[in-house]
Amino acid sequence: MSISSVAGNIRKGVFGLTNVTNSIGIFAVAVMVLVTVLDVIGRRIFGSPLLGTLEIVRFMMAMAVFLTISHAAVHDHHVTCDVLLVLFPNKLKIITEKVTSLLSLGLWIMLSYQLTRQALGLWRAGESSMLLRIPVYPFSFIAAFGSALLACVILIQFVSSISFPIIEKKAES
Amino acid sequence: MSPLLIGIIGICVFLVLLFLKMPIGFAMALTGFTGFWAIRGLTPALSVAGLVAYSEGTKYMLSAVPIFVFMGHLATQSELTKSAFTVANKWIGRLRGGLAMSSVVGAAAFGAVCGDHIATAATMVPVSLPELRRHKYADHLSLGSIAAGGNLGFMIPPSIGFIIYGLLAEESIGALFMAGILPGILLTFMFCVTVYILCRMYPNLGPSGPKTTWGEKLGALRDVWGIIVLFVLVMGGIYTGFFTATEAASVGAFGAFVLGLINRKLTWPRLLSSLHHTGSTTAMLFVLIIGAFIFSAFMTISGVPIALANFISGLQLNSYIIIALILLFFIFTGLFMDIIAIMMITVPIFAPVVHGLGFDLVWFGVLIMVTMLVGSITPPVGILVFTVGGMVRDVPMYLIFRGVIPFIIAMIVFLILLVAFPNISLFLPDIVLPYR
Repeated sequence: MSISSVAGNIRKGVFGLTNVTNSIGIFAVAVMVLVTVLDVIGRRIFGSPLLGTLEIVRFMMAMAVFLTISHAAVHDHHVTCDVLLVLFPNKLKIITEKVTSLLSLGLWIMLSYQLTRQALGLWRAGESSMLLRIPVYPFSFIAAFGSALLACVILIQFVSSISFPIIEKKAES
Repeated sequence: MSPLLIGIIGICVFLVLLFLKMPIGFAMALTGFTGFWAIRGLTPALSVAGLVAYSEGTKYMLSAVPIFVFMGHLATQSELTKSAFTVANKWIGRLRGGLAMSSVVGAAAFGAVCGDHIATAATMVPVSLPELRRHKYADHLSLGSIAAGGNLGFMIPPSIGFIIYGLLAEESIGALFMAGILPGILLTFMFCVTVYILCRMYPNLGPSGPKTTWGEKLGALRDVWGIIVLFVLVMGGIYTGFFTATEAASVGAFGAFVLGLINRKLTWPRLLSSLHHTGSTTAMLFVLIIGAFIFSAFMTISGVPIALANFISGLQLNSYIIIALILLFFIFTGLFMDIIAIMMITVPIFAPVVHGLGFDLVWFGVLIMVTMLVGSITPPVGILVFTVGGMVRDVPMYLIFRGVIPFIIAMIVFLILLVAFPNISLFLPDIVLPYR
């Protein structure tokens, strides 16, 4: 098996994983809607709010945000501004893109490292939510995992753009 | 090196990264983290970055952002907004330029259930353009009115922009929603007047449509009952205090879902499509939000906002001149950058300054929204013009930019009115939330 096919398979696997995490993230949005509506109906009509709505919504937010960010990166959905870059000659433009890509990679490695440390801290402390007593650490781990997956996507995009331009072209087409 | 100097260097580095096409949220987070590290050391910087990322990504108040986005997609997929243009046409189509006005009013109605300006413009193109062309409207007027009308999606509540501004400026989202209603209606009216004046001056631009009876007019309202129900449900709920603005998002999304089932348009694939679009927008917005709050933490410890506030108050200028300068700054940045991104970067810096001058931050929120919306139809990054132009390949971009010029003038006049008469924005919030 050649290096390029291994790289292609890794790319396929990671990008496939972002599809799965994205589906879980958007499912969390639907759960947030349902829980809040049940709470409003319960509180206003039956005089009995749904216990721990705020906690559930916050946990679902962690999933909706951190499990969708890598999928958005795969599809280039993050907001950019290229007013200066368009003026650059092609070669300089490519170098600049690589540099910003490396900086982004550094950022998300740092964030996933720190979020993992936080999650481990919460796990050891056994911290849980006030009303429903749901452990907080799994959602903190989800945030760390989502950030790490985004770092993987940036790394793959970076590596394939410098080493395997053919794979990138194929994927784009 | 003093924290203030590090702060100023940080802003410069951020701007360089931004213009080099690094995703804006990433650039803010990276500069914020590095700046914090330079001032306080690595361990506090790591802690702040991690804590801010998790706490902002799970903030309850921010749950309204993805859910209002979801509500807009559900309303579109359920075809609740499709008839808005046809209904508006029945009411005002017989006026000169009436069809172009109908596309503006249709966009306003769409804006009442969708908080995004790009989605509003993109929805109005296939709905209104074929009719406008069939009635021989000039392309630049048609597309100019559709692109400008897209702005109403952001102005008329529920608006994603107001939610994010509310969070950054620590103002009530409910008050901001209320503050957007009258200006939204006024801007719709001013866009219609613009079309009317243009068509009076140049009759070839847009002829009048056929006359309709009162029976037809009233009968047509049946087709927009979904929008009316949804708007009344969301805004009525906030107005009466039945639920909070954050809860209103979920109630509205659930309402759009039920209405979609009732009119049998919301199929399983359409529901999934709504969710997928919501996922992309959520990710995009929250990366900006997380980045902005890490950057904001750095700005706070650097002392830049306080130094800026002291500098501005030391200028001894009339406070309205300062407001005018700030608004000009927002118009300028709006020419190059995305609205949400501008707010993320600038509101934490300017809000304390404006508050210190004694102005109402709800009023200021409406003003900066208008200034940034001007940028969304102005070159070089007129996102609404690009959206419309991208969907209509047979019309050159410059022609659409030409078409929006009268609407930009209308928006500038509108902005002056809002500054001169703050009650246009503050009348409703003062009634609903007098002790805000």
